[in-house]
Amino acid sequence: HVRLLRPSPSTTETMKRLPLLGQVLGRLCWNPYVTADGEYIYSNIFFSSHNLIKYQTCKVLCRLTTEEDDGATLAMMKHLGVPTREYYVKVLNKVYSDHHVLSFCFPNDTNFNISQTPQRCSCGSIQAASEAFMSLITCAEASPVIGTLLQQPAPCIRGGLSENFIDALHSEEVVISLWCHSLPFLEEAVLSLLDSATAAGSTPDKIKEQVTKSLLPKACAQHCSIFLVVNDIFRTVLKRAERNECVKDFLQTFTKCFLRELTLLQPQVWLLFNLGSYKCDWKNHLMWVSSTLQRLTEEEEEEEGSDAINIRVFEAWFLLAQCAHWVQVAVQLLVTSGPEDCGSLLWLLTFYHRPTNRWHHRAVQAKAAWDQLYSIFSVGAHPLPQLSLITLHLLVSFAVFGQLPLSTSTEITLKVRGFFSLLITFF
Amino acid sequence: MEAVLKNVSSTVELLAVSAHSGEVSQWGEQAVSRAFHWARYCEHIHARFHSNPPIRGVLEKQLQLTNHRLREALPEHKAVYFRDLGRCQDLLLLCLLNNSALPSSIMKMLFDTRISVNVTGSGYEDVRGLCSQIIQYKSACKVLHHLLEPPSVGADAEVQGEMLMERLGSELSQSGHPRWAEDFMSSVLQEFEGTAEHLCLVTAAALLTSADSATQTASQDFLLDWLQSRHVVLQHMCSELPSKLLADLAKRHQKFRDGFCSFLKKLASEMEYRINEGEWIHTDSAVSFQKVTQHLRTLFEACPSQRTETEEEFNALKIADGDFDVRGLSVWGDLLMAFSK
Repeated sequence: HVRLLRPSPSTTETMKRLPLLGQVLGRLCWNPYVTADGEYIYSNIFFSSHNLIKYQTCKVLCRLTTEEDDGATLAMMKHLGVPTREYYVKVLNKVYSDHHVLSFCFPNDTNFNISQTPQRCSCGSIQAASEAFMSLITCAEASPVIGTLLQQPAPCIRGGLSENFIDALHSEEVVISLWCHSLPFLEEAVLSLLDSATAAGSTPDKIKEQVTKSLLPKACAQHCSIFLVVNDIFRTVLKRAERNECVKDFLQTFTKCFLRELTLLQPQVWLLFNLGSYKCDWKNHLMWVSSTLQRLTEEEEEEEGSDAINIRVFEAWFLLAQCAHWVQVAVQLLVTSGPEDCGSLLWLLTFYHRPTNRWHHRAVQAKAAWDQLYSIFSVGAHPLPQLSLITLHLLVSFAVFGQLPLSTSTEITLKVRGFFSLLITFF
Repeated sequence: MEAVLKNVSSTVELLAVSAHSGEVSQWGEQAVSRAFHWARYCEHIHARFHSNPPIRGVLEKQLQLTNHRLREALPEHKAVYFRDLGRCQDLLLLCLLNNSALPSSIMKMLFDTRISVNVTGSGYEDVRGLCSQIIQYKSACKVLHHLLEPPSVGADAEVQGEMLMERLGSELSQSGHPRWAEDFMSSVLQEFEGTAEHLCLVTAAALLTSADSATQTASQDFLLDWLQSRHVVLQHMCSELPSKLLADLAKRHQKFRDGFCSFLKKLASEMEYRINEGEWIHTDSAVSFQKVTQHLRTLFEACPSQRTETEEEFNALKIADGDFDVRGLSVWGDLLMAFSK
């Protein structure tokens, strides 16, 4: 009972009287259920036992960090003047290098080749290996081993890898770190997400859910290298499927999720991509984007076939495709602001939908569509012409943001219900 | 150069303060980080000048002066030598952790187990979690060491062999005189007096590293010559290392093969036949007749040309012994019989 200690004036005297007291108090300090009232907690003994514990902990930690069991190794490190951390990183890298790891998993076969000799691998050693490497899953140096273990032929994965290892692999941190160091895993993850998100019947909500669940936006926000690889895959897919609206929608959703994750890490990022609700800011921004892109594509016209320019135009379009919400704002502004800004904004819309058309065709086509819709929506119901994708995009915008009464807008829109299946691709 | 001397001197003072002064209790994260920065500076100086005898000499002298001065003020101060500079961060860590005045916040920082995002690269940018990282790496090595069956010398020795080669390379190319490399090897030998087995493994690993550049070839040549001149070490290697490793070494280096073969021959020539046991025995060496046979067999597998040469030589020796085809009369005849089995 702590109260007993109170009458004794000196710590040393008390310690002499009760030699095991230090130990008892030491153990008490680690017990979360033990509390002491304010008067006693600061008593000398309690204080010095705290210090004693701190001192002992220091000693243990120091020993763990700086002492070396293997005298010969320590002597060598000292003699060569090699820092401990550097030395161990080197040894680990060596251990993890394929040579050592494979000889560990497959001790009987020195020329092991995964594709040729699946029958020789022993599930027992794979199990032991997966257990041993479990706690090292997040280490960069361990990635070749983890990769090797995971790439074992199918019968071995089920029979061989330990359950704990597989459980550990499911943690967010581990998955992301694996992507960081193993390109095949990252590629597989991106492609399977693309497949499932662009499959028939997927809705925007579903896409968003899948994207978020995939952890890829988070990984991109954390690691620049992952971001670059993922974007390269998107680029390739988009080049092959220019008119595939599903892929474009997916890219936009992905970018949104990515920016949200990035904002959590770097709050200032949000400002770069979101201008808030000020119409004037948005208009200025979009006009600037449009003029910059126009200049770029005009250069493309002049230097036809130049790869550098083509790449630049594609990159510009890719950015626009990622930030497709800019295009949505542009469409809204096309209806709500006057005809004087319509040229630039229409250009942006056309560039988004038809990046590879020649610019003058784009401008003419879009202007005609806008004129049509402008007249329809300023007068009220009229016979409708054949609508293109751009026109349709504009039509929806006119219906939503136009000045006509709701009933009239609905009437016009109903007339084009034949296109409703297409409309779904937008909203 | 004067600035370098001053900086090194100040860092040694810093080490003394971090080990013995209560001032450390006032240190914050930034101060500790800066201290490690200076320690890294010294490691850099070590890496830059360890193979430059004149500059190294000047620095050693400066360290001696500083140590002397510090010991007057702090009798418990432990002298810091030039080679310690290569591990200055470790030294600083040791000083800090042993100083009871070190604030808990710094302890927490050093042992932070947060996984840093950028583990790759130099990894020396941040002190946060330094200790937990070292512990993690160390434990990983220890755990894996027991699990792995090393195909040759083991990861530990391989890394040390590479480091040794690197060091020899810079000693030979920078100082321009093999004497420095010889001095260095002598000091290594001295250090490993009690653990010669480890040195054998490290030397073998060093000789087995790939020699892609002229410097690496020169270092290996130097090491081979050094082994020839230090007969004890070569003997030790030949009697301690496993057959496969010795055969690999013999296949890689003709000089080593010669040394290895003459070692085996000498050993065989010194063996006596014990009639009671029916076996050839060496009175001073632990290497048995079977071991010699096994060494030679493995060697022949690795270098088939060696077989004809050795067999011819043994035949001649057998003839000199009387050319009897009976066991126990000539060790050469018995060895030849053992190969042909």
